[in-house]
Amino acid sequence: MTVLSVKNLHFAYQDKVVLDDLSFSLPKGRLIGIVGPNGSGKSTLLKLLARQLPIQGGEILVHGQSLSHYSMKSLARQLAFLPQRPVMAEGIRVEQLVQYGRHPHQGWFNQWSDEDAHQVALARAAMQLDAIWHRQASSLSGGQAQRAWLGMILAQNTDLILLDEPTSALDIGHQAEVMEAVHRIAAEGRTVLIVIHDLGIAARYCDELIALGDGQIQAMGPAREVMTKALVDRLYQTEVDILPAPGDGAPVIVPRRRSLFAPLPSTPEPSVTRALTAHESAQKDTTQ
Amino acid sequence: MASTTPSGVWSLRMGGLSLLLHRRNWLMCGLLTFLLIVLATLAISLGSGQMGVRDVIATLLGHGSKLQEIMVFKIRMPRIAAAIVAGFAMGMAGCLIQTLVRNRLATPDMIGVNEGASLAVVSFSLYLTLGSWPWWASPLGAVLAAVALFTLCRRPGEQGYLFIVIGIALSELLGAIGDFAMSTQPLVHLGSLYLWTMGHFAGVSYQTVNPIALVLLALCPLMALVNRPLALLRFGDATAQNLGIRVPLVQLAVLGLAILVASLGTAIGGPVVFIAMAAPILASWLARDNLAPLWLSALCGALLLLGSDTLVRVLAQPEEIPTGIMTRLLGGILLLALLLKDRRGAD
Repeated sequence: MTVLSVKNLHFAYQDKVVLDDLSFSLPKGRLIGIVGPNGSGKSTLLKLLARQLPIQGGEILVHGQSLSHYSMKSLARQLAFLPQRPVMAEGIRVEQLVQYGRHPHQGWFNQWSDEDAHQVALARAAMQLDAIWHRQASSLSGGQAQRAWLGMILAQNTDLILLDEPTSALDIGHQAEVMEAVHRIAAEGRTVLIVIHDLGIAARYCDELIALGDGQIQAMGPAREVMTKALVDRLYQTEVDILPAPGDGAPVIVPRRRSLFAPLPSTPEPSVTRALTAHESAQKDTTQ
Repeated sequence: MASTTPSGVWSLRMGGLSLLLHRRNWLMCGLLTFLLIVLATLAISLGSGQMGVRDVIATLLGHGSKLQEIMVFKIRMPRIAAAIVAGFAMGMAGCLIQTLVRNRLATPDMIGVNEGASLAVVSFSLYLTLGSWPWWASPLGAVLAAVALFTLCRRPGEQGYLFIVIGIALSELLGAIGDFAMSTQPLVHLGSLYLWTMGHFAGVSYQTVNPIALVLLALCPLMALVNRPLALLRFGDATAQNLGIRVPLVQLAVLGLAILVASLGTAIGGPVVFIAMAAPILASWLARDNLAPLWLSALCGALLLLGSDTLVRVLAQPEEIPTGIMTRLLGGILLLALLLKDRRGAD
């Protein structure tokens, strides 16, 4: 079953073409990563899908219906979008944040139903929010905050979920925490489209990857097929090495350091001595 | 999985109808209403020709002497009603704009709306002598000021800081024009007008208060309607839209309401500053996790303005000092405290 299909999508900021004749469609229940260099139109694509930007050319169909067919509220019941740096309202607790995910299903005279309670409880369990449920959202760590946001998105109970770089600015532990949560969401049968900067994380967690470059899809498919050395070298304009990860053989991509293959520069000794003196002087300061 | 209601709320259900009432919020509203009644009773008893609180209550219940009735209903009550209605409007307008722009400094008196309103009232009363107080000119001036503000900076949600800075400049400009208009007039005509531009509630009549209170009452259902989407705007445009909010529509509606309400508040006793800033801050402390405590903010506004007005009346006796001077004094201290607290947070 096709949840989302994009046909001949075109978008430009003034004269700069960002997306050029883009077409693809997504089946249900998959975790699909969008990768590509900075400025390749990843976020723009997601914003167009979430109707945060006006469509300039082409068509976006959600469950076979054009995006413009939906009202804002009915679209919010089909598709949930988490922006790159969501604004956390001051003084809010995790519980409330997740409950706000039910807003598209509520009305002025229907502010809380059994279904609301059920979906919020499901989201709470799936994102493992028990320990932080009553915490102030502003006091959470990066990974916890993202899980809380994902809880809100999940409570929205949509078939399609769009996430714009939910792991950026997180360390590897928190990245794994968030991606495990995202993976659980997709495993429930929802389609998750996620923009990821880190190729290693993308390759390890996503069922399929879409590689964007020059406003077009450069490759699409399972990570192992998409992440070829030729493609990555060309897209990011640098030379990389690709190794198979232990376990699942997912491609691990590391940049190739030029100096390793060129004659070494002069000895690195001076920098070490400098560091030592700095350390010593710091010690002197404290003794004084 | 058990059907749980969110913590901290009362859930009302009737058939297909369900309402959530934020528990702490409503308890605080009740408390503030009670305080407002106590303060109003106290305010009636204070002033020259003192009456005991017991006499006041007796008079209010219809058991007072002729003299006491004149004192309560003709002299003290209009002024107290004026302060309550104006404070209510200012607190509400402040909450609307602060939440919309997501900045505590964004209030109608900061961004030029109040100055526009008072300029219109001053102009009408100076150049068109109509006999009665031209309170209805106030929304006109406020809307014009808002239109000017919008042509200067387009999206209030996106660029909160710019919005405020341009608003302050506009506010100064409109204030200067008003002062200029007044300075061209002979001094004898200016006494009461001058006091009004500083925020003054002495001699306000029911003729001004009643129509304004009615318009405010009529706007209350609309307020209840925008309250929920307004709260979601606190999460930024993208998240609000994701949750099904038509962001530009809600922004426009909220801003329109805020301007209207702020100008009505100004029309009564003049541009009293800082109530619109202080009331929502106080309300959000009291409500804790209510994202847009509109009603609480309105009640805080009424309480603050009535408190300031009573204080000024008692302290300055028998002189008449504009209430705006007291709110400016208290507000200045509040603003300093806020900024210093922010600085400590940043250090």
